[in-house]
Amino acid sequence: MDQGSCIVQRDGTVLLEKNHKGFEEARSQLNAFAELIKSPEGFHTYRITSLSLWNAASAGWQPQEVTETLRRLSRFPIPDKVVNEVTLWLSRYGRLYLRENPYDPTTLELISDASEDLDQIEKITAMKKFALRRSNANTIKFHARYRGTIKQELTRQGYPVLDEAGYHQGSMLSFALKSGEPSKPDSSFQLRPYQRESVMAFLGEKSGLGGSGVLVLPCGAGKTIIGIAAMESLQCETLILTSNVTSVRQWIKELEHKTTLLNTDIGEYSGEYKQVCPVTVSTYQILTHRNSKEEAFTHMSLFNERDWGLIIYDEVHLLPAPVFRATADIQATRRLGLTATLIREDGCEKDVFSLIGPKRYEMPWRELEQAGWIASVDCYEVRVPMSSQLQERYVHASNREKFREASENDAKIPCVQSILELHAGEKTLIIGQYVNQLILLADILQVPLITGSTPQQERVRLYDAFRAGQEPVLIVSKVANFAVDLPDAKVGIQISGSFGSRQEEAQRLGRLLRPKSGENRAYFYTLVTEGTKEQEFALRRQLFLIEQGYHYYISRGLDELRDLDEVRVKEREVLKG
Amino acid sequence: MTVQDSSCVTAWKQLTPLGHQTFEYIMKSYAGIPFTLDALQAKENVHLSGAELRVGCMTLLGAGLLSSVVKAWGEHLYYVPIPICTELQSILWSEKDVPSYVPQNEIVKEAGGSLVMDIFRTLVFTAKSGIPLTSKGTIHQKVLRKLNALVGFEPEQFARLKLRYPHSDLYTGSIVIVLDMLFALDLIINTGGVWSIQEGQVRRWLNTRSEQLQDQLYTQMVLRYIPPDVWLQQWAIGIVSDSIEQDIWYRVEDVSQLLYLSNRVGLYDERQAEWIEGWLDFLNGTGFMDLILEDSKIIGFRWKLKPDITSAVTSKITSEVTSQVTSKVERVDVASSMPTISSQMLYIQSDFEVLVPPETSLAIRWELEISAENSTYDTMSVYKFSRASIGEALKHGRNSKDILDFLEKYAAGGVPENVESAIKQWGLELGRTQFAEVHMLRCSDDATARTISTYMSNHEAIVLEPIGSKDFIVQLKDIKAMSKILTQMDLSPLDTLDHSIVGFYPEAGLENDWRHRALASSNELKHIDEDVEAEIQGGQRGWIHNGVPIHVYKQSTEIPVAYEELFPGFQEVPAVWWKELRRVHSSTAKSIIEQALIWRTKLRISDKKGEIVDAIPRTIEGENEWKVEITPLDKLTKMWLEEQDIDQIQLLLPTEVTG
Repeated sequence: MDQGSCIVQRDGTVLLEKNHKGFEEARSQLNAFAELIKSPEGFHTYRITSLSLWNAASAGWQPQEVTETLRRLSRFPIPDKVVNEVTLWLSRYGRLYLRENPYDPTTLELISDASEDLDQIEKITAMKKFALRRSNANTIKFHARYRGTIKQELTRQGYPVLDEAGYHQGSMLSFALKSGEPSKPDSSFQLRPYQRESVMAFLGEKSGLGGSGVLVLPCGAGKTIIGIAAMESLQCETLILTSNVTSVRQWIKELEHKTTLLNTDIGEYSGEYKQVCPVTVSTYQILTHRNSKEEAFTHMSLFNERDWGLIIYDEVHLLPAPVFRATADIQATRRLGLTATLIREDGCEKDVFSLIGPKRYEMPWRELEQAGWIASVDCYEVRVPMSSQLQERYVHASNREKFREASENDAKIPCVQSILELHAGEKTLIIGQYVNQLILLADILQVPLITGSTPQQERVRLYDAFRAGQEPVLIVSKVANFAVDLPDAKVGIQISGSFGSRQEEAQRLGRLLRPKSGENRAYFYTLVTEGTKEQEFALRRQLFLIEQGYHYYISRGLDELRDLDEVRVKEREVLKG
Repeated sequence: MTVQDSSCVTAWKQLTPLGHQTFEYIMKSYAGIPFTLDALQAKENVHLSGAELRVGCMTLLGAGLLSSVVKAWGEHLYYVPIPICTELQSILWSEKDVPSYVPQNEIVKEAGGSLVMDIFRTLVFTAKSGIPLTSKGTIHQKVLRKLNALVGFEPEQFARLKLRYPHSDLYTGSIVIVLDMLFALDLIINTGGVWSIQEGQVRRWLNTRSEQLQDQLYTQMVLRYIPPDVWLQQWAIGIVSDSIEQDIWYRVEDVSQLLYLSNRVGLYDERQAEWIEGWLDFLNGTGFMDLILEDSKIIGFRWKLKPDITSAVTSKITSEVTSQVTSKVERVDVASSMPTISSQMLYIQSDFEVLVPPETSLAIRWELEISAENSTYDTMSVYKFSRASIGEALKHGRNSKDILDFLEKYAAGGVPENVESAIKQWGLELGRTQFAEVHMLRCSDDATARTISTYMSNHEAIVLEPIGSKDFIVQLKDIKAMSKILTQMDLSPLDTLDHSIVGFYPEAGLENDWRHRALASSNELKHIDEDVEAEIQGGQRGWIHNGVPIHVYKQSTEIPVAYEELFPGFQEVPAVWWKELRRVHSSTAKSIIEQALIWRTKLRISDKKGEIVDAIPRTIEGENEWKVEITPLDKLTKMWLEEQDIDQIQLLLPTEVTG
C-alpha cells in the first residue's frame, strides 16, 4: 500500500515524514495552508489554523482543494473535525470586505453577499461599541476610525475581512537602489529572485490585493533588502520599526549602502537619538516607553510625526501589544511585516493577520540552502572533560557558579587549538561570554580579541583585517551578540555562552550563514564541559536550531572530532555522487 | 462440517429440531437476559410445551449454546452468552440488508478517543502511583480529578444509559466507566485501601491485539450496561451483525426496521428509543462510532471500530463440540494477525519528542510511558523525554541503559545522538543516589546479630546487608520469609509489617521481545490468545451492572441428563401412558392430563370420530365430571374438552426422553 507522507491529527497538527519519498511535494503543498511549527529530523510539524487557512484563501485556495490535498498526502483517514474546520474557515474568507463610502469619506462600509453574516456580526457583544449602522441587508456602515479595531475584532471572532478601502500615498520620497545605477559597475548588489518575488507579492502585482501583509523568510535571507526594495517600489516616506538598536543601525547602514538616499534622509529614533526624517528607523521598545504605568506612551506619536506612506514592521512576531493598538489607527497606511516565523509566544497571530495583513510570501529555509543562498552549517557539540581540580571546585560551587566554572574550563583551550588546526586558514570567529577566559585564550593563541572595551576604531581595523584574510582568527566577547558590523565567518567556535539562550545560539550561528565559496559549508562548534550544568544549558540552547532542522554532532575529545569530520566529508561525497 | 464454520455455528448445526426451536424461542423471549426454567415455561407458548423447553435447554447446555449459573439457594439461572447471540444472528433471523445512507447536510459527530486508550492511561496512572482510598473506601477527590482528566469522553455521553453503581453521587465523571472496566477485566484490585494493578493480567492485556481489546470491551459493555429488555439487547447485538458494515453510514430507523422485519422483536416505545440514542452516544464517546445529528437528535451512525464479539465464544465451544482442525485454523489466524516488528515502531526526534504511530502495541507504549511524558494522544501520539521523565523511570526501577536498550530496539531510525547522550547524562545525574524503602532488622545486642548472621550464611536466597554491629537491611520482598526464619530461631520480631507496595510499575512483558528477540514465538502467542479468551469468558467482576448480575453467581457446569430431574416421578408413571395413544378409563385419562400439567408436556388426543390432535393442556377443572382446556397445535386457539369428548390419550414426551 502506498502510504502517505503526512499524519493529520485531530487538533489540526500535521506531521510530515522527512524521509518519505513524497516529502518534497507534501512540503510545498502544506506550506500553502499550514504553518510550519518545527522541522527537526524525522518528522516536521505543521499546524492548520484558521489563520493559516485564511492565508491560503488569500492565495486562492478553495476548501475542497485543501481537503483533497490532505487526503492525498495523509497516511490515515483525515479526522472529520479537521475537514469541517477547513471548510468552515476557508469559506469565511472573502465573504466580508471593507470599502470606502463613496458619499461620505468619514465612514466605511462592511459588505457581505451573505446577509446572515452581518446578522451574526450585529449580535456580537464586542461589536456593539463601534456604533454599527445597518444600511441594507448586505451593508453595515461605521466610522472610518474603527477600520483597524473592527478588522481586529472580527478576525478574533472568526470573520476575516478583506480590506479594500485603499491606502493613502503618504509623502513622496524619490530614491533608487544603487544596483540600478549604471554609473557604479562595481556594485555587486542585486535582488535575488525570491527577494523580487516577495516584493511583488507584497505589492499585490499578481493578486491585485496588496499593500499590506507579511513576508516570512528565514535568517540570512535578506529581509532588510526586501524591505528596502519595497520602499523603492513605493517611493514614499517610510517608518521602519524593529526589535533593537543594533538592528536599527543595521537598517540604516544598509539603507546608506544600498540606496541613493542621503544621510540626511535617514533618521534614528532611539533612546540615544530622536531624529524624525523621511525614512526613520526606530524600535518597538522606544515606542512603548513610558515613565510610569499610568502615563501615555511618550513616543507613540512617531506614527503621526510625518505623512508616512509605508510602515515596515521588522521581526513582526515580536510586535508588542501597544504597537498593535497604534497600528489599528493607521490602517490607511501601507504596512509590511517581516519575520522568520509567524508563531508568536503570546498567541497574537490573529492580530498580526488583521492589523498588518495576511502572509503574502514564504520562503522555507531548506529551499534557500538548497539554492545556495545560505550556507549549510555543520554543528558540533564538543564535550570537554574536567580536570580533578576543576571537578573539586565544581562540586563545592553554588549553582550559578557551577555554570561559570564549567564554562571557563581550561581544558577547552587545547580543544580550540585543535579545531583551528582542523580549519587552518579559514575565517574563524571564537565567541565567548567571559572576558578573562577570552584574554587567556587570546594570549595563548596569539590572536586579536575584541571586547566591549575595545575602541571602535580598533574594532573596525580588526574587522577589516579579518575580512581581508589578514587576521583569519578573531576572538570576540558577547559584544558580538549585538555588533552590526561583525564580519561573516566560515567557522564559529563558541567556548561559552549565556546559560540557555536560544536566541544567542541562533544569532551566533547566523554569522556563518552567508554563502561561502566552494562547497558553501560552514562549521559551528560549541565546547561544553562534560557532565555539568553547562551541558544541560547547551541542550536548551540547541533546541531552537534542532527544531529548525539543524543536527548537532556530539564528540567527546579531539580524536572523535576528527573522525566525525571524516564521516561528514564522506557523507557529502556520497550525497554528491 | 466445514472449517469455515465457527465452532458456534457447528454446534448449532448439530442440534436437534427441538434444540433449534428452544434456542429460537429463548432468543425471542430473552436474548441474552438470564431466566429461570420456571419463568421460561410460564411464558405463553403455543408451539413448545414446558417439557420440551426443559429438554431443549438441557440440549443447549450440552452444546455450549446456553450457560447457567447457580444462585446461593441452588436455583439455576440460564442465559445465552452475548457472543453466541451475536454469532447466530444471521442463522436465526432472516438477515436483510440495511440500506446504507449518505449524510446530507446534517452534523457529523466524530467518534471520540478510544476507550482502550482511556483504560491504558488509567492503568499507567495506577501503576505509577496507585489509587489510594479514603477510610470510607472511596477515591480521594484530588485523585479523582486527576483520573477524570485522563478520560476522553464526557459523562453526558453515558448519562442516558441510567447506570446505577455505588457512590454515584461522588463518581460523576467518565472515569467510572473506565474503573468498572478495569475491575471487570481484573486489571486492578483492591489491596488494603489502595487500588493497584494486577501485574499478570495487565501484562497479558498489554500484549493483546487492539482489535481483541475492542471486542472484549464491547462484550463487557453489552453484558453490563444494557437493561433487561429484549428489544434493547437485540438492538445492541443487531448492530454488530453481518448486515451492518464498518465505515458505512446507517440510519437508526432503518436498523430498528430490520429487527422488526426479521421478526426478532416488535415495535419499540419512546423510552426504548431514547435508550438506544444514549447507547449510540456512549459508543461515540468511547471511540466506536461516528454519529449523524439532526436537530441534536441522533439519526445515523457509522462504525469506526466495529467489534467482533463472536470471537469471544470460540474457545468454549471449540473444546466441547468441534474438532481440533477448526481450533488450529483459528490459532494460526490469531498468530498471523499479530503486529509485525515493522509496525511496532517509535520515531524519536532530535528535539526529544517521540512519535508513536497508531499501530504501535500497548506493551511498547507502556514501557515508553515510564520514561517519557505524553503530550498528545491522537492518531500519532506524542511523548517527550525530559530530565524529570527520565527521573520517573529511574524511580520505577529502570536505568538509562534499560531505557536506551528499549528505544534502540523499537525506534525506527534509531535514537538521535543528542537524545541518547542526554538520557545517559540524566541517568548519571539522577541515578547516582536514591532513597530506597528498605526495612531494618534491629537486634537488641551484638550477640543476637552474630547469631543471625551465622545462621543466614546458609540462606542464599535472602541477602541480609549488615549496617553496624546490631542492624541489617532486609529487602522488602524478603520480610515475610525472614519473619518465618526468625520465628524458627526463637527470635520472633516484635512488629508485623505491611507488605503492600503502592505504585509498583512492572515491565510490560516486553523483555522477551526487546531484550532477546523481535517477536514472541507462535507458542507464546497461542498462550496469550488462550489467556485473552479465558479472560473474556471470566471477566465478570466490576461494579456496574444494569441487567441481572450473573457475575455474582457461581458458574454451573452441571447438565441434568437424568430424566428424573426433568420429569420427577418418571419411573413411577406407567410407560404405556407415553408410549402409545390408548383408550383409557376416564379417571386414568384425568391422571394422564394431570401428569401432563405437572410435567408441562403435550398430549395427543383422539375424539370419538377418530380425529387426532396434539395439544398443550392449560388447566383441568372438576372432579368426577371434568373438562380440560387445551391449545391444539394446529389451531393455536384455546378450547375446552369434556371428558366424554376424549376417546384416546397419550402423554407426548420429547423424543430426546423417549428415545
